[in-house]
Amino acid sequence: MSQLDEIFENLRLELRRGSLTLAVMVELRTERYGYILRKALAEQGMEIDENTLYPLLRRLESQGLLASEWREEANRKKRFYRLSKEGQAILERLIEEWRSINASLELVLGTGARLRRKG
Amino acid sequence: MKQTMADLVDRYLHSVRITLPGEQREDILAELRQDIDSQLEEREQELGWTLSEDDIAAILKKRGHPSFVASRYVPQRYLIGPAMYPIYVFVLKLVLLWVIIPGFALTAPIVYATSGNSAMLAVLTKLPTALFSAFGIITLIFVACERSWVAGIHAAWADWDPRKLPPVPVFPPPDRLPRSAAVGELISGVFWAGVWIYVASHGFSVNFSGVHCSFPRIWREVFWPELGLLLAWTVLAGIVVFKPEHVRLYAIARIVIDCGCTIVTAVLFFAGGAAVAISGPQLPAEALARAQYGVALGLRITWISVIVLFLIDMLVQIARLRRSRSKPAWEMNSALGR
Repeated sequence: MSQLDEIFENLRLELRRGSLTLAVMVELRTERYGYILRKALAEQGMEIDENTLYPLLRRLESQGLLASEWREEANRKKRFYRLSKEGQAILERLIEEWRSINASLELVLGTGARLRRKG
Repeated sequence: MKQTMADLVDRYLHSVRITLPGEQREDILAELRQDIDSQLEEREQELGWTLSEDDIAAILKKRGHPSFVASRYVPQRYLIGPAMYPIYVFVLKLVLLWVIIPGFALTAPIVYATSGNSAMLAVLTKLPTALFSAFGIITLIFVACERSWVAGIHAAWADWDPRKLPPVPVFPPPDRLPRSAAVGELISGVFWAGVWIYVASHGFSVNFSGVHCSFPRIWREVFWPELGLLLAWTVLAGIVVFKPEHVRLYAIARIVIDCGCTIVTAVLFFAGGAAVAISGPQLPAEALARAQYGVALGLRITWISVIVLFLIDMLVQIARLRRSRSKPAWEMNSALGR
């Protein structure tokens, strides 16, 4: 991997980190266990590896944004996660923030594109 | 095959277990096992056959090394945080590069002169220990500060008043020299010229602990050139006090004086041991020769340091000459609204 590729990869991961948290919280409005959650995200183009997902779930749970319980399903014990009441409130604020950032970024990108065309 | 599958996964999880944080270890492992089992089952269904050892190994390899997996569950910790780190690096550099190493460089020749080769080697072998000890002590102090003060630093960062920031220093315009520095140079020039004349009139010799150090002819040969340079430096400083706008004249004269001082110092450097004569009727010949060598070595180190300082000053004056042409300091002041 060249130095530029490495820089790009680090910036890409940085860019995705915040949005992954948001996507996980949105998906956990419906109760899911880790593996199914990962698959659901991947099907929608939000690939997340298990070494990122599980520590993230634990962090969100320790912050009180998620609740979890071990239950048996198909003869196997699984840990199911769902968004807590506090998590729901935070998620609504985060979605609002995300939309605002997205709109601003679209404006910035649009301005940049116009300037490039003029140049 | 089921046995192989369980065996590999067990070994993998056991390796992860070793470095997991204690309080959540079993819970994390149970969840990881659930995820791995689900992944293996799904893969078996996709392929339509029981997974081989190679298939399982490939899946586990893709999940990452056990230590890497475990590291993701450990919160990031640091001994010295971003608030303290720049100060820590500054203190470390200051103590290691500018205190301990120069201290040893100056001490070693003196120890050699007074106690001999083996004593000097004993001192030098303590250098790594001194460096490591200083590194350890400084790090421990900063770790302690990090634990006790960092909350206060963050609070200070949160509660600050822009009106209490220090004023921007006024850069002297390039067509004027700072008068205060010139006054300092004038006083210092008069002082050193006086010392030089006093030492010359009272003889170049010193007695200590039964050892007589005399400064032979080479010093007398450099007396007048050195006095001339000191007086030129003093007169130049006097001119700047009254005419601070003579920047280019000052810079050129300083370069000439620095060149003269470098030549005088180089003469003393190449004189080596001949620059100091040591005699001591009480001392054995071997000790006397060692003392002579040690003093000569110490003097050489001093002369090199002095030459480096003169060369640096020449560069400073060259930069001043160039600045007086391009006037960046004015631009800097005007950029700051002055």
